[in-house]
Amino acid sequence: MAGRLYAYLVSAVVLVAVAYPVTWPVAWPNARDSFPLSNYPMFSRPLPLPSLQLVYAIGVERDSTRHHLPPSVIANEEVLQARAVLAQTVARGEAASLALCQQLAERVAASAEASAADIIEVRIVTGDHDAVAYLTGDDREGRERIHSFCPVERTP
Amino acid sequence: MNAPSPDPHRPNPAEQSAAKQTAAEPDAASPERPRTPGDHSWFGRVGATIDRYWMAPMPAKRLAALRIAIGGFVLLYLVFRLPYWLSYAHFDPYQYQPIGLLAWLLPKPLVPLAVQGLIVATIACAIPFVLGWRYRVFGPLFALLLLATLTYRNSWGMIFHTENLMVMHILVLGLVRAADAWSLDASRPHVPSAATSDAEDSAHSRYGWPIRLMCWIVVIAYVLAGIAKLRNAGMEWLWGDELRNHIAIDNARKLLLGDIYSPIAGPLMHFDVMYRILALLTVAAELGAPLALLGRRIAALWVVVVIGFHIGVIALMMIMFPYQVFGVAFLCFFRPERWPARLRARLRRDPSPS
Repeated sequence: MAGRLYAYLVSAVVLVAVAYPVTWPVAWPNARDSFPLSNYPMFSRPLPLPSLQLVYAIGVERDSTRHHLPPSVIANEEVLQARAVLAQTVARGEAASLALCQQLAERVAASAEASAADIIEVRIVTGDHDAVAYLTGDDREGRERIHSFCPVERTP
Repeated sequence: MNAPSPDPHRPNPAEQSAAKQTAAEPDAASPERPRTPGDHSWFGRVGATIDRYWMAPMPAKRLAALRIAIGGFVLLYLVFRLPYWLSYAHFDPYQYQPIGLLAWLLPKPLVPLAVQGLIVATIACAIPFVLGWRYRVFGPLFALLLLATLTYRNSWGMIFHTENLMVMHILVLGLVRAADAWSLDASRPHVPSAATSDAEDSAHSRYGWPIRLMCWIVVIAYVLAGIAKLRNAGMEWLWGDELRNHIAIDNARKLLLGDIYSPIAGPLMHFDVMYRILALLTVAAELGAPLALLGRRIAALWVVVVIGFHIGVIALMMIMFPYQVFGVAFLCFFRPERWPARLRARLRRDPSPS
């Protein structure tokens, strides 16, 4: 009997817990999510247009060639974590943005990647893009606003 | 179960005699159950039906197979991504946004050494979990450590959804007697949580309900994902434009953040009909998840569709849900304890040329 009671108690608690997030708001900006309980809101946000506003970091060479700094330089291997770090930093203001920019410049300077060797400046920017046009190559420019920039200083 | 005395999962003699139903034990995705006598009121009948379904006996080896497969998968997952987990030790504290249990228990981030210790302890406890060694201790301990580790990694401004099912399954396994077969404990009968070899081969409700619960966790997760799309974007989501925009934005974001993106997403951007079909299939697979509870064959069909969906997500977005793609999340719908014997028999029949 105790075993049965335990079975039903654990089952009820777990089932209610995993189903409970259905009561949470899913609509932005009040959407609520958690872990490991979730209402799985990924890819559910209404997107009638493929407009993308994103904070990202670029490395610039002397001839203005641009390199988009990868997640491993910004945070870790997860691209969404890198996005979160950049967005949070920019939201904290100019000083935080500049501090991160300098950290990124130091990481670029220390990087053994061949593509990083010619980067002389790091910029943190917010870009507005049409994602479809960007992806198909029809419009790679978009509009960018620079939050901070800093030189990449390499010690000989 | 790893519970204080009296152990709620220790069978009484009557239960043990009922446990000897090895021949016709059902699978977790099958509704047919033996009838049991009970009261004949409406509530009694409903209760008895629920009881027959939820407490259906299943073999100890099935739960053990799930412990080994899921625990083994998590162990590899933790080890292969070790540098990634450790990276969270050096994030700036201002980025910390605790969620879940950590929102109550850990308002400030851990010092780097504690993060490293947590991750190492989680990996270390995964080993006895898989081996079924001192499971009364390491079962719940590993489950809690895994929950803490993964909640911590999700507490930095970005909630990932790749590990929810994995953690929930480990939590269930950690709270039940999943080491009564195919374990070091089972080979040591003097250990209180160990079963006899007799019990290893018998079916019992204490091995059945956790498996059923794991199936329901999977089903609820997919249904919630389907509901979220329709609640948030409405029926518009089914027309495919929203899905195409999500795929475009996800890939453009990866490009702008210097990450790997899908090479086929760009060329496929203008195939509107394809996105309409994919949107319909996605929502149908998610909302159709309860069908997997109706029987093993339907479950197999649903699992094939869902794994196909996840492979499509990799192809179009480079987003991988490893626990689902490798099928580990769906083992609870089947009879994985039978597969090693089948494999051995097949290998005996078809010896490979030397």
